[in-house]
Amino acid sequence: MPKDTLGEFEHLVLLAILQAGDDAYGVPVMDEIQQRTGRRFAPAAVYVTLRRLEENGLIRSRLEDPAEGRPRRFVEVTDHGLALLRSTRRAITSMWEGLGPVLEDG
Amino acid sequence: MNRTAVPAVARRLVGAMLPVEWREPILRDLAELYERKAARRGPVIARIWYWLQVPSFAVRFGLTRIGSRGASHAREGPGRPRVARDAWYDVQHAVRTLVKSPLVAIVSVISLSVGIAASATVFTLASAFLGRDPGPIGEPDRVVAIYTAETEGRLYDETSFQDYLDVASLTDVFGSVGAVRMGVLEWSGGGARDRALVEIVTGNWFDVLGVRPVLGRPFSPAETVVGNAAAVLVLSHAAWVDRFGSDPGIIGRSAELDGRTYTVVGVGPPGLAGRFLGMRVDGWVPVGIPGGTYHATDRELSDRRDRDYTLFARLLPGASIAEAESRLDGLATGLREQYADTWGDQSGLAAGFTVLPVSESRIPPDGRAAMTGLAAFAMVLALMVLLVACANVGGVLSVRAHRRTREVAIRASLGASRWRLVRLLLTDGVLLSATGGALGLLLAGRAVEGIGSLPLPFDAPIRLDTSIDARVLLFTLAVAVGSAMVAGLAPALRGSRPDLQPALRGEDGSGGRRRFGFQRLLAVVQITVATALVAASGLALRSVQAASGLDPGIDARGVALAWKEPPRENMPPEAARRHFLDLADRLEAMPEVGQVALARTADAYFLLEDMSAVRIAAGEDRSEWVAYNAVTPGYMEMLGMRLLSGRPIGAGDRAGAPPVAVVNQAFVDRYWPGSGGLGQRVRVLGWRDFDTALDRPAETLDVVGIVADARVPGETTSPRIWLSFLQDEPVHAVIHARSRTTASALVPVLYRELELTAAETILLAPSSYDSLIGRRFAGNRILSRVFGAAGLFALVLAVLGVYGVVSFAVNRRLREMAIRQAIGASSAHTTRKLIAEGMRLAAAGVIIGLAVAGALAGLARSELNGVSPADPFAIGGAVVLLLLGAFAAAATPARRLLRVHPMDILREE
Repeated sequence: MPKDTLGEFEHLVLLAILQAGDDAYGVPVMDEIQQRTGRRFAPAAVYVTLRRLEENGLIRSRLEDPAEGRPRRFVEVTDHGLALLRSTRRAITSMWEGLGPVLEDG
Repeated sequence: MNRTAVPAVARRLVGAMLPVEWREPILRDLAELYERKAARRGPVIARIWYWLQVPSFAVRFGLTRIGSRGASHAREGPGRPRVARDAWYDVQHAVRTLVKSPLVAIVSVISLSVGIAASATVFTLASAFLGRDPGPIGEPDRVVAIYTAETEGRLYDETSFQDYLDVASLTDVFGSVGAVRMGVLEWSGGGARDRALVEIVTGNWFDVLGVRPVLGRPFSPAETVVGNAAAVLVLSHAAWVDRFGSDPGIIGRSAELDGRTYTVVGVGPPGLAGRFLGMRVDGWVPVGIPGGTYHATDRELSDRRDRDYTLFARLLPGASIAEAESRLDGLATGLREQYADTWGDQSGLAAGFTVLPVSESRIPPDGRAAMTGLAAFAMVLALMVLLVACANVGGVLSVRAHRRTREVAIRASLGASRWRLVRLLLTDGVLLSATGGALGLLLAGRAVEGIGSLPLPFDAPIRLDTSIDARVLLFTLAVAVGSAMVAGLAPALRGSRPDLQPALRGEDGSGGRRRFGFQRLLAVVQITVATALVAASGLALRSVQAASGLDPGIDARGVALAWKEPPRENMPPEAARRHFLDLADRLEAMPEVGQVALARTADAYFLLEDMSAVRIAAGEDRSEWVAYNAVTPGYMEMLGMRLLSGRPIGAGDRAGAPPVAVVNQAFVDRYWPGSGGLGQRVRVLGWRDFDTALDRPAETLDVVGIVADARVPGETTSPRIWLSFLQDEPVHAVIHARSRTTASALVPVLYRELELTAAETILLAPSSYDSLIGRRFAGNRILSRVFGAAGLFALVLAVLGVYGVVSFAVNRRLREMAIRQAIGASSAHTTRKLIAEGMRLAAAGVIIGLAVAGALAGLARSELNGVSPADPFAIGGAVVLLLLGAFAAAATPARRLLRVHPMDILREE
């Protein structure tokens, strides 16, 4: 059953999939998160999250068999996932409202 | 070995945990990440990283799989099953409590990581040195190695090619018999050091081993007709990868070795590295190419005295080693009758054949015996480090479980199930051992890498395969984690059914005394092992010190050496001698060179000192082999050899003049005890060089001088004899050049002026003589550091562990002592009593430990360089250090009795 809240890490993974574009599979997703946040996550954590997101209908995946070697599993965000990201963003933006002067960088 | 391949066992483990639809893609991604790691951080780190993925995936995927198997109503939070949630809670709780008592965490983690690293390192090295893995060959059970046994000599010597042909004719037991010898060639176009190590083999070699090239084909029969073989080459997989960049189009291309063009016909399977352990060959070439390859010349192939081949045979299905032995015995009897000059009862001649399973053949069995003692010593030490580590963890964990009795009682009274409590207590052990294990992995990887890159004591193209052995690692990890679990579990089980009443009151349960006994036993065991370790390390250190008292018998300062062979095979002796003398004259004329002397071998370089030997008559019908050197006039003076009487080899000792000899004192003591030795005559019956008997008539030598013995502590000096180079038949020469500046400044000059070939730099690359002498003990120096470090670790571990158990034992009695003090005992008395308690434990451990150390030292007696196993410095040092440690451990808690009012102590409880 689709769920309606996003954990922090799920949020990161979803955004990383979008950032990685058409070629999103495990490795680029990890790279995006590490490059943008500077944080390193265990591969197992990323894959277990990808699986959960898929179970919850937020992403879908397809297997692509190359000519040789093992196949890759590419992932993309579903409409439901996009909607959830938008609503999360709205919620967060509204929480930030008026706090600019307090929390301004630098 | 293909070093970039993902560790197969780890890959399978991860794969087993993954859901089917994600298995292949995740393994693919991990392989990509692994390659990236390997490229950036090196293969060892990458392998460790991959192994660390196993627990990481186990925690995340294993737990969700277990969770999702249960009913879905068990889920209480989003996506996290109850078991996982409880486990997570336990981990958090364990981390919090461990942070509160960091000593427990530090002791356990350090102990475990050091213990695991030490044993994984030693066992990896030992299995590399003493390994019985025959490599990737087909049906290894049917493959045997065949050696020639000498009369009164080596049991596992090589075999002559002619004898090989006779062995190969035994087709009723052997399906095929192959012969192999090492060859050192040079990739043409490369520098002097660009060596190619090849195995020169018979055409059926790959059939004997039961392997197929992965690319191309093996040699064809037409290519390998001995005496008319084609210049064809099967590359080793490693050489194909490293030198030819895994070029898939390599077959049919040509490669130049020693100026000859070879056609590459195949690439060997990965991991097939050569028959001799540690040697990584670059390829295989057939024996009997016209003109010869390396020393595999026509003469060598036809002369039964030239024993240079190791034979490997594939037994016919159903044939046994015993049958092969009896057929070979029959053959040997025939050979003895037919070839009396090479087969017979005389010392040094061939006496028979010996057979070994291929798994025993990776290192020469006579070498194995010498190494086994040292390896056993190191392995026992490493196991003891692991034992100390496990004892430490067991000790601190059981102390900790004991301290948590009260917490457990509260939880139990609030309704926690026993299983839940056990899990809570076990989490500590798992957490600590996982952390310690991970650190241990990193340490072991570093240590093995470091030791693998240490310089060898001689310049040979040997590369040890020192990648860490995954089985060893898993084993040590299992031992350490297992012991932590057991140590944690025993108190956990006991702690989970405490007698609630006394525990809640803060008193000990009835099991207290028994547990206390266990604690004391642990303490004694720990001190025992630590004493043995520290004493053994001390002995090793002392033996290395003793070895530095070496007197090589010569003054090698400023002298550089180079090895030179005659320009042609089978040069007449006079021509070869002339050639070497001309070389020496040319060198001596150079401005950098002060003086040059020639010798047949080098007297103080351990690879060469026993290389040439003469068989001398030693009594009526007895003869013995004695190492000999032949030197030019001026050699003995130049190297400052101490003459005890007579004269050195001089300019008058030329060809044609009466042959003379100088011998050392050990020679005189052995053959003419009690006489001065001067004026005696030595009858030389036979000559040999390496293992090859030389075709040279008997001679009688006049002894004209006696020199002092070289002194190596702990070794008896062997008899040695020096002849005149001008009266010798040289087949090689060691050029001794004294520099006007430093020896190392001469090294490039020697390379250039002597036009050294790769083969000439194998036994002896031009070097300063001092550094060669030093290399003999380089191994000892490294060992001393290893032992020193092991001893230090053992000491730290032992003191930490002893501190834990002794202070626990003392703390337990603190209350009793406080009561005694409260009713009038003096604080000095109670403090003494407490310290005595700790010291009694320590004394028991130290005494047993010394006995163990004595037994260990016996194992390594030959390595002790004359230091007594009861060396007072080593043994006394260990005793003092450990007793001091135990004293500190007992005194710290006992001091509280002096400082604090007894009532405060009683109120705390």
